[in-house]
Amino acid sequence: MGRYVIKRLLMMIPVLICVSFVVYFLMDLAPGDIIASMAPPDATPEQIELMREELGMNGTVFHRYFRYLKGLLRLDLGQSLSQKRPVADIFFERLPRTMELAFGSIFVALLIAIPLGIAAATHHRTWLDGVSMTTSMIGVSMPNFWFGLLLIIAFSLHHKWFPSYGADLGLKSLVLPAITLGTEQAGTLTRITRSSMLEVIRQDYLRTARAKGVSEKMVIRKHALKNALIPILTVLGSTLGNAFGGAVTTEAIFAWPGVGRLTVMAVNSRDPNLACGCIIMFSLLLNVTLLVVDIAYAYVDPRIKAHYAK
Amino acid sequence: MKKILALLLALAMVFSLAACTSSNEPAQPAEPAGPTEPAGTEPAQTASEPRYKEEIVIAMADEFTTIDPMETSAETNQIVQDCTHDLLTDTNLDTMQNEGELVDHWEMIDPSHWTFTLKSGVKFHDGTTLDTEDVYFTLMERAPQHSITAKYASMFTIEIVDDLTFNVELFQPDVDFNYVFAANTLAILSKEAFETMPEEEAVKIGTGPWMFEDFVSGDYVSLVRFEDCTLYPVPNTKRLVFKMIPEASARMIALENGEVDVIMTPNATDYNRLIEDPNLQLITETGRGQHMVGFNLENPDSIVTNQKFRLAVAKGIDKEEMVLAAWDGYAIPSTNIHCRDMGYYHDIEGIPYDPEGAQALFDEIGATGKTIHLVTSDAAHRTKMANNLQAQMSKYGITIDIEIMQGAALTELLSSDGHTNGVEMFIASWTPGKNADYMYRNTMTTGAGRNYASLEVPEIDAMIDAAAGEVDPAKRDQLYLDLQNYLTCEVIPWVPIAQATLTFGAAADVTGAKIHPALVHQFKEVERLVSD
Repeated sequence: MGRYVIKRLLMMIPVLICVSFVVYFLMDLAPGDIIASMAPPDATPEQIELMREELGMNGTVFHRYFRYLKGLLRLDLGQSLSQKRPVADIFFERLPRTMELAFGSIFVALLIAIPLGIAAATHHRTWLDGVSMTTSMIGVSMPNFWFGLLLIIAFSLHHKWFPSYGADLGLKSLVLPAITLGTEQAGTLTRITRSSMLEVIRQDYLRTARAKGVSEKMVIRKHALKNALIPILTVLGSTLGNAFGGAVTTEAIFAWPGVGRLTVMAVNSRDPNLACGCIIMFSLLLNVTLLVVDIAYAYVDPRIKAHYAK
Repeated sequence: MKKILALLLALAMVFSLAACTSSNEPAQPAEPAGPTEPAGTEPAQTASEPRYKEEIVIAMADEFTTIDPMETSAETNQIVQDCTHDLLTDTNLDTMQNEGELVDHWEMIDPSHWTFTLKSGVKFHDGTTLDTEDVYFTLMERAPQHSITAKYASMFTIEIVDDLTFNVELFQPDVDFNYVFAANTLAILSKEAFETMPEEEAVKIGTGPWMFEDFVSGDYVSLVRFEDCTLYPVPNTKRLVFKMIPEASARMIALENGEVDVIMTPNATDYNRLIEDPNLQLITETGRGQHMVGFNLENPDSIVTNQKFRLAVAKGIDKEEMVLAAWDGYAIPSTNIHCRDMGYYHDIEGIPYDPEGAQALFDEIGATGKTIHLVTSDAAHRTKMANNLQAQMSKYGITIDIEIMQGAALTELLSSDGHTNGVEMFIASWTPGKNADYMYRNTMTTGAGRNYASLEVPEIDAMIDAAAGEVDPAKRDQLYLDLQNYLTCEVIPWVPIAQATLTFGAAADVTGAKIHPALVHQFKEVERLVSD
């Protein structure tokens, strides 16, 4: 198992270098020059060049990228050109908020998806199945910006139960953004839970369990759900990984000071170091999450654990 | 099953009604989501004294990034910096004149030699008193080290006369030199703070009525009032919080909910709500930004280089209609290239709307049936302007092919290779921060950074130089009037469309939130009276 983890960790290095290469070059290809936009309108071309040199943005894109890569190999994500601070400082200042939102939304998603998915599978082709699937479809199809605003209007403006923006009131601040993001994730998770459970509950060993007199509750909870967990874990892992970087709309609506908004700002302001740093960190987080999910398989399924041991 | 479905539908209806109906309870401020405990009010000293809310929360659309004035020219940062730091001279938003801020008075000996005298007894947040050493340190020692302000070092030298007086010698004569000191990047810093504190702490020390307190990236920046402020009256508000709320709808809800006191740039669709709600107000001011339909004169093969075509477009645009389409009427149609609130503005007739005249000109030069490639950015008002222009020009048989791009991309394209990209027309805007010379020099002189039309007319360059160098105010005024008429009605590098209205939404009892036409809004005196 240890060897497997080390191998996976080592495999992340080329992945991250590739990500940095692609992002850095795409940022360079995108029209819009951060140095020109930072300079006052009456700056001369010589003054703009001076700025470029001072901020390390002179030379070809290859020169700049290799300078950036050299720093990256020393675990230095560089300086943000727009904020004039180390990228790592800015990113890690905002990461905890994103983590809160990601885990909060996953909690909401699981709270909705697991019971709904199980109910849909155990009541296959009944009205409950239909309601579950319709609910999940609504969750997936409902735009976040609309649902978020609706929640704000209902529970913040009219009922004043939760703040309409920010992250300063702890759990109270988290409720509405987590529901907004979690509802969307719940849609996919419900469908996966349902199909995974459907596959499992048709297996012979469950019939045997029932024949042996095990209660239906126990059959579902102990035998069916545990075996249905692997596909759910896979989707959960990628959902969580995406939530680290993909909650831009939710962060914008609730003025949530997370890294999703930071990345959009970095791209819009053409700040290559900040954009690259954020995306590399997302990539790292996603990889680590997927690794944790892979390790979790071993605990769910002993066959996989045995395979890792080989 | 029917019962369950009915129950679900009922739940959905309850949820929708909860979202859509308004509470019958009287409006009460919600628990603020600010970084501290709910703001209360200052205890009244006597029964007759007015009471003010202790904390004012201002919702901004963009992110604040740094308190160091020399690190940025972004307006969002400068709005906060304006509360904490002061300039030698600045625009008085009541008179729109450049007046002394830290400077008490100045004298132009000749266009190359100036004498400035500072106000006495001005205190920095660290307790030290402002003197000419601080001015010299800021302008001659720190500014040259920062690329954004380095250019100023090449403009002048400073000689200290005494604690309050300094002489400035310019390398090139400038009769409007006092405007240079109104650049927000040249806010005066405390020399002693830099000698005794780390740089990141020293840059927070200014002379403004507010002191820097805390900054959480992407969330808020907070300021506390400077109790020993000598330059301004000590604010009645104790704490000022600038919250970053990117979504306009979310800002509006936060205002209605009582979580914030002022919001910047509300949606135009919310203006009526702000006007009609007795607890709220809409604060408006005409912006200095000139929105324009411009022509790229770089490509000799394009029909837009024909002056008659440009004249026809200028005659053919119904600006009132475009203002309605792009700003819901919240803009003032322009007749002049010169921005309305700037010095030397003249209310010239410009080129009036004349559809028949436009059609005749288009027919005369054979433009009917032509397709013109126009670029603009994805800002909502610009795309609306572009669509409206397309509709208006189609009446004359001109097809406008619109290309929409991101704002930074448009600026780069117009500043560099518009010609190679086949750009013939553009929709953009220009907000001059300083004086008339700054406005013309950056947009109309050969090779200037914001010369989007790629205008290369030596006669215009000479006219701009002549106006800038003229010491006699009456003659100078005439030179600028000639320039306005010549550019607006004859050369027509762009057709001025409108100056849009800038807006704030605020609680009804908020005062002192001032809109700056060049977007560096002022909150130095913001306060909110609390009624008993």
